[in-house]
Amino acid sequence: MFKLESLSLMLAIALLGAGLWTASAAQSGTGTGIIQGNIEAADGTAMEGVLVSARVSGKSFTTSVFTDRQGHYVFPPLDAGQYKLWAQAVGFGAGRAEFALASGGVDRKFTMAPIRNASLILRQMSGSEYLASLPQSTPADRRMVHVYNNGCTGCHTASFTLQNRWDEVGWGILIDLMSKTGSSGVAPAPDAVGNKMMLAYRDELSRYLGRVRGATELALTDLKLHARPTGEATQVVITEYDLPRPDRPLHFADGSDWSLGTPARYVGRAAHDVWADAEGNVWIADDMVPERTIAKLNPRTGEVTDYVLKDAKGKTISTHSIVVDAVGKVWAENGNDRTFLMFDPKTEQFKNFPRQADMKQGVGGTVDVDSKGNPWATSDNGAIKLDAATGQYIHYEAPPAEGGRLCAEECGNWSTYGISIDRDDNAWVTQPGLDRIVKVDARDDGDDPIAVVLAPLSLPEATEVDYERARTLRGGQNTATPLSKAPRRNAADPNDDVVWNALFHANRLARVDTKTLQVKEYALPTPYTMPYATAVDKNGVVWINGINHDALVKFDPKTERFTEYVLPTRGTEIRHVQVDNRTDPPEVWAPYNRMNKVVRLQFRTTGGPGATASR
Amino acid sequence: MSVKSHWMLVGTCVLLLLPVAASAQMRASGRIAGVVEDTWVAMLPDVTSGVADAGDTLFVIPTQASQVSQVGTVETVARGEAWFYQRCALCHLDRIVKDDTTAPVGPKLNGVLKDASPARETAVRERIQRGTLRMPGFRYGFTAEQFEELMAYLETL
Repeated sequence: MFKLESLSLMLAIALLGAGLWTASAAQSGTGTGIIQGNIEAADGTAMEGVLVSARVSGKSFTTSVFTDRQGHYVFPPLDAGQYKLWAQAVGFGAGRAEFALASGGVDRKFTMAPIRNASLILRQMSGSEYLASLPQSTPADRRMVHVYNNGCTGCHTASFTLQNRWDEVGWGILIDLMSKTGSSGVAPAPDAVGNKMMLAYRDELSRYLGRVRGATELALTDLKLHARPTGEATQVVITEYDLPRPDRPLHFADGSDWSLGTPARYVGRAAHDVWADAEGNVWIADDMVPERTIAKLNPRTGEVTDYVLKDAKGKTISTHSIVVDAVGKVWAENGNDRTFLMFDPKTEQFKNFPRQADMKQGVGGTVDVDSKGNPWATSDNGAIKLDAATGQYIHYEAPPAEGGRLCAEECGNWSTYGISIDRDDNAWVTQPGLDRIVKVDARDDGDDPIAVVLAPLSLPEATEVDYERARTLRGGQNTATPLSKAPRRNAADPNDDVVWNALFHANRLARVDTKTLQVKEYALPTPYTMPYATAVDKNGVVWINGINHDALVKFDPKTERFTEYVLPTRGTEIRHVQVDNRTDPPEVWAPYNRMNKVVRLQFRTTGGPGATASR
Repeated sequence: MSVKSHWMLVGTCVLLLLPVAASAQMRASGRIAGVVEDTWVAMLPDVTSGVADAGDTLFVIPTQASQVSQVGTVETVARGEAWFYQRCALCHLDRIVKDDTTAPVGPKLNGVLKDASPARETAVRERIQRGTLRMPGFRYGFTAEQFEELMAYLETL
C-alpha cells in the first residue's frame, strides 16, 4: 500500500518530474513501480539511516536509499522485474527479500536484530571504524595507529588488512612484503629493496598489531561504530554501476554484502578517476585493466564502452587521471609514454602528443585543463603544460625545498601528486612529502613558482624518533611519519579565489586563498577518513572522498559544516571525486578503485514539483 | 633464467637444506630475507588443533581432515572462493596490470588438494593455520565455518 503522505515518496515523484532519474525507469518497456517499506529494531522503534539496496535481474546497477526518521524508505520509480532487496546497518543482521516488481509497487518491512558477536560486526566495518576501534588509550598506542594510518592506507583501506588477525611474526612478514610491493600489488623481485620508512617502523608496528589484531579479538565494547546517518545525510539516492573487467567475471563478493568483509581488489580494481561530460556520459581512467585505455559509462543504460590505444610496443596505454574540457575533448595522461593523450568522442579517435626531444620531464599522474584548453599535469618536481595548438610542452620547476623539519634535497627529487587550475589559470600542485602546495603562474611574464608551506602538525604522541625520521627519511603520500600532513589532491573553486586541498595524513581539508596565500584547515568529522581528493561544484560546495572511509563527504564553506553520505559498498577505496553541474544541486560521481564500480549520488531536495506534504 | 624459475630453484634448495629447527628459529626471529618456499609437496608437520578466540564465540578450527565433512555445496564453495580472494589472492594468484601478467610471490595453489590423501589435507590445514617463513598463520583470522568454506574451495582448484 502506498503511503502518499510520505515526504520521501513525494520527493521521488518530484525528482521524477524534474527528469533527474536517468538510470532506471526510462528504458523499460514493461512499466515501473515503487519499492518502499519500513525498518524497525527488535523493540519496534523506527531505525533511521539504514541503507536499503535494490537490484533488478538483468541490469548492471544497484540503487540504494536510506530510511528516514520514521524508519521509512522509498525508492524512485524502478523498472518492473525480479528484484533482490537488502537492508544493512553496521551492528545489525541484514534484512533480505526477493520479489517481482510490477507496475504499482511493493512494500517490504524489515525488523533488524543486533549482532552480539564482535567478529561478525568487524566484518561489516569500514576502515575508519577499524582504526578508531584499535586500542589507543595510551600515547604509545595512539602513535602506532598514526604509524599504521600514514604507512598503510595510502595503498589500501585499513579494513582490508585489519580484518585479519596474525601474531607479531605474521604482521612482520606482511610488512616486509608490503615494503617491497607497489600500489599495483605486483610481486616484488627477489632482490627488491624495501621502503625505508616502512621498515623503520616495522618492528614496533608489527608488535602493536600482533597485540591488538592477534590472538585476542576485540571486544564488543572496543568497537567504535559510526552513528547511522540522520536528516540531510539520508536524503540521497545512490546508484552503483558495475564496471566489468573483460579479463575476469564479476565476483559475487563485491562489497555489497557487508557480512563478507572487505574484498580483495584482485577481484575488481579498475577505475581510478571519473569525469562527467556535458551529455551526461561518465569517462573513466583505468591503470589496471587489459585492453582498456579509457572507458565511457552511459548512466541511462549502464552500458560501458572500452576504448583502447596501444603504445609502440603494442601494450595497452594506461591512464590514471581524466578530464573533459569545455568543448568535450577528453584529456588523460599516457602512463606508458608520460605524454598527454586526447580522445575525441565525436570521432572516437585518440591523439597522442609526444614531448619534444629535449623535454626530459614527463607527464605525471594527475591532469587538469586551463581555460584555453591546454592540459596540465603534475611532473618531476613541478608541473607540465601542453600548448595544445603548437604541441610544445613547458615544464615549471617548483622552488627548492627547505630542509630541517622534513627531509628535502638530500632525499632526492621530490614527487608531486595533485594538480588543479584556478580561475586565473594558475596551476596548484601538491607535494605530499614536503607538506607544501606550489603555485605556478603560467603567464609569459608571470612570477616564478612559489610554495605555500603548511604549518607543522602538532601531535602530542609523536616522539623524538618520529622527528628524526621525518628529518632523515623520504616521506610521501603513501609512507610517512606520524608528523606528516600530506596534501594529496586538490580542486580550485571555479567561481572563487580558493583551492581546496585534501590533507591525507592529517585528516583535514585545507582552504588556500589563491591571492593572499592564506591557509585555513578544517578537521574532517570522522577520524581516519584519509581524505584523498576534492571537487568543487558550481555552488562552491566542496566534495571529499576518503580512501579509508566508505563515504563521500560534503563541506559547505558558507556554513563550514560537513555532511557525510555513507556508501553501500565496503572497500570502496575511492581515489577521486567529481561533480556533474548540469543539475542543481549537482550530482556527484566517484570511482570505487578497489571494487569495479562507479557511484553516483543524487540528492532529494524539498520544494520540487509535488513536494507539498511532509511526515 | 626467468624470475619464476629462479624463485622455484631457490625454494627447492631451501626446502632441501633447511632443518626444521632452523626454520623455527628464523620464524621466531621474524626477519625473513630471501627465503622462499615454492612447493607444498614436502609438508608433513605435526598435527595439532588450532584454537581461535573470536569475540564472544570460541572457534575451534579442525586441523585434521577426518574432523570435518568433505561435502562442499555450491554456496559453501562460493563463500570459500570469497575468502580465498580476500586472504590468499595477494600472494597466490597472478597479478594482472594492463597487458602484463606477473607471477605471484607465493606458489599457485592449483591442485593443492586434488585427490589429496587425508594426511596431505591435514598438512595443508596445518600450513595455513601455522604459517610459514613467508606466510602469516591464519589460525586467528578464520572462524571454523569460514575455514571449512576455504578448504571446500581449495578442493576445487
